[in-house]
Amino acid sequence: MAFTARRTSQLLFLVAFFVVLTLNRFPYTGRVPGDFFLRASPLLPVAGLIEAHRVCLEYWPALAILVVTVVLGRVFCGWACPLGTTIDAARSLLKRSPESEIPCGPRLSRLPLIILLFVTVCAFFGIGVWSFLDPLALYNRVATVVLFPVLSRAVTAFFAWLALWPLVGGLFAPVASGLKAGLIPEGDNLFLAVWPLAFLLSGILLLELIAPRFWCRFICPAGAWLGLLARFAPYRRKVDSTCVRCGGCRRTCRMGAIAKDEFERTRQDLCIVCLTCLESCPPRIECTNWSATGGVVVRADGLSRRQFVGTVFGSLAAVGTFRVGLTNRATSGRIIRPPGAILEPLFLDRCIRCLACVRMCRSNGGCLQPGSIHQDLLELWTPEALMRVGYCEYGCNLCGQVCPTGVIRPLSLEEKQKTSMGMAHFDRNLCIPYARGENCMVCEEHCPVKEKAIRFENREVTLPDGRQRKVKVPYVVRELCIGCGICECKCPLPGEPAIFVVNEGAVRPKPPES
Amino acid sequence: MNRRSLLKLMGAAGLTLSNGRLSRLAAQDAKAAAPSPASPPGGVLPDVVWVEKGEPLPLLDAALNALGGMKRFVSVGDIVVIKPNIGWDRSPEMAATTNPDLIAALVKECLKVGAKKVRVFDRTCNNPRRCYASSGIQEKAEAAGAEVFHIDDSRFKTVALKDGEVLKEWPIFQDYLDAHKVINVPVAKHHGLSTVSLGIKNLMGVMGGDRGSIHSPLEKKLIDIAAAIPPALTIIDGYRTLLRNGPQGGRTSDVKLTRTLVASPCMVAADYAALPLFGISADEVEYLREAVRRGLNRVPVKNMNLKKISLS
Repeated sequence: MAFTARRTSQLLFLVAFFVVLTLNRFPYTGRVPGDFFLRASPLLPVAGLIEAHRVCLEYWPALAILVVTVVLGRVFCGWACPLGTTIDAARSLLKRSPESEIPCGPRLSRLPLIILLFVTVCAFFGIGVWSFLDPLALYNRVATVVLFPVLSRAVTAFFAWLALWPLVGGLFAPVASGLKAGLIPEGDNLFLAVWPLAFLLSGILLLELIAPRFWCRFICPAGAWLGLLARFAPYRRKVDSTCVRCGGCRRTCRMGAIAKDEFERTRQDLCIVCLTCLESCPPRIECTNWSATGGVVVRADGLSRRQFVGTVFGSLAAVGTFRVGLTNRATSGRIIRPPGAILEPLFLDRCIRCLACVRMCRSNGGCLQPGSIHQDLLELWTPEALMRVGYCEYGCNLCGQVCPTGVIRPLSLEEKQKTSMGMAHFDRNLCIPYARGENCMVCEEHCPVKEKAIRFENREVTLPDGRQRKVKVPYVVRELCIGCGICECKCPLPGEPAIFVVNEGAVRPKPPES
Repeated sequence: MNRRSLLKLMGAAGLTLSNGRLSRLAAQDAKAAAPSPASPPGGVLPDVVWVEKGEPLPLLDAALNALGGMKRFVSVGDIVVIKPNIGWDRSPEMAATTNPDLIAALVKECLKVGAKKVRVFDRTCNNPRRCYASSGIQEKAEAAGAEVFHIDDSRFKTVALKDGEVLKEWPIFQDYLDAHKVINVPVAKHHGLSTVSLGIKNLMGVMGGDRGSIHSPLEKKLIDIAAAIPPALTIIDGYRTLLRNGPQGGRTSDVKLTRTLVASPCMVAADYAALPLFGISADEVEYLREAVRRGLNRVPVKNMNLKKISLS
């Protein structure tokens, strides 16, 4: 009964997560906040405290989870986390035996704490590596780039195939077209960087072959942080004297939270209240119960002094390594951030790489893509505008509205249309009117700035064969260009465009607290 | 079912299918031919109608009446394509897209004379969802009973351009080709490269491939393609005219409330007749000169039979 409740809850949260993800597109109403689940990440309030020196109330879903954890334990991990649910589902598919014990388990069990300490030290020095491992940011990332595109296409293709059948096809045709319109409207949900994230997700799921909930037990820093709070939870597992010491609960505990030979004791920092132990208790014995009084716990493994000091020094070394990169303007000048992205170092620190903005952008101009590493590891998967892929839609300000951390400031449309992302430059060696003496003007036509940031002058040119011809040659009005990149996107040349945007003059606001 | 009956069935099915295909081809030929310059009891019909000083719906009514009614262009059972300009993520007040009320009224007219289906689409420059929504055309055309949908990249058919001087073939949207009748409904606007954007330029919205490359040289390539896909009727929405910073504009100070509508079965004549909206002559519009040089006009543009109607 309780077991079914937990599973139902897991399923509901997973479905809700994908509903919110699906709604993160144009037309966006905001009635369901697109960043709701991202603001529920338990590590966010901590990061906010360290980075912005304040309790960030906008992360109220996360704060609620912290309060729940202090009372009930790690129920978030067992009942809600979409990554945890996917991991559980993968384990059933992989048919791994429920046996939770692995040889190096006790040694590995301290790893999450070490990772948590590492990312915390880094955060103090303005390096937000925690977000690479944050379960909700990570899940949103892989769901956006891999799961949603693949699943939505598979489902739509399946119904489209059914619609081709004689006789019954007519029944499925409206379903197929409805799914197509609802899930993958024109131009939606295609991204670069699909394979690295597909490998990341497969890796996490395949770890289930080694041990159940491997990611949650041995890696997840959010789980470790909730584990620290769960030690105080009064609501605990309790075993009464009727226990026949069958050991079923210990064998089936996916988190390895039940002590060896002392089945009544629970590792409170590991237990995710999945209630499998209740299920596994033999009929007519049912010695296991849950209550707010009397549960016995095992002292959680802490870090030894050596491990603590070692981790801190190791983290400091990593901080130093992050800090000694050299900037190459050839690449750094070409990194275009979304409109209203805060100052670059703070942006790299606070962006949690959830890609909510990137998903939103795909149903608009489509310029934002998961960033690649140009010169710094931290650039990985941060939103980057690639103007040869798409452009920033002039009438759109939606990326800032779904950014959970506010590193893309929510701008009004009027503000956004004045917030420069960069500046367009011509390469006259490539540009058709300059290079060939032929008209083109595709960039001028598409320039959305009302006063036109790309204009043209009529010029008499001499062609190679000596003929004279009147040509319209374009130029950029630097005072008006906002770097939206539609000129670069639509430039008809194959390959390298004759007009391109660099981040010169990009407006980068300060973070909200300053 | 024995082998014989199966073969019979297959034969019948094959015939039915190919028949559909044949009738479709026949319909295409019919579309390419000009509607006959019928001589109604009242006298000769005009080549072009210019209606001014009215609201979109009365303007359309007057123009259609003068041209002999919608029945002249749309027959019972036709699949009609209405091709507006939905190219930009702009509101109707910016005159970068066709007036949605005009499109809705046209849809109703077509259905009234017995059209089987009316389809509305355009290949947009900005994101299609945004353009269809901001222009108001999706909402109003659907409410009027049309099928409004996006251009699907997989549904283009390469068409041979037998009179093409530069281009010999170009992909065209299948639903445009499949229509029995096409009504082209551009909005009158300025254009940086082609000086004005009217009926012929509006046909770019059904062209596939890399449209950017059509721009050099635009007048040659545009006429190459447009010659192969003429609409049955061109209705130029001059209720608002975008006079500067076209083709997408973006501010009302560039828009003039001209309250005019120009219609003609000949797309070249329609574009010619609409030039007074901008106060320019045909000498300044290179693609129109090219169209006449190639003989795309069905009526003499210098002395066409132009009927002017003022509703005030």
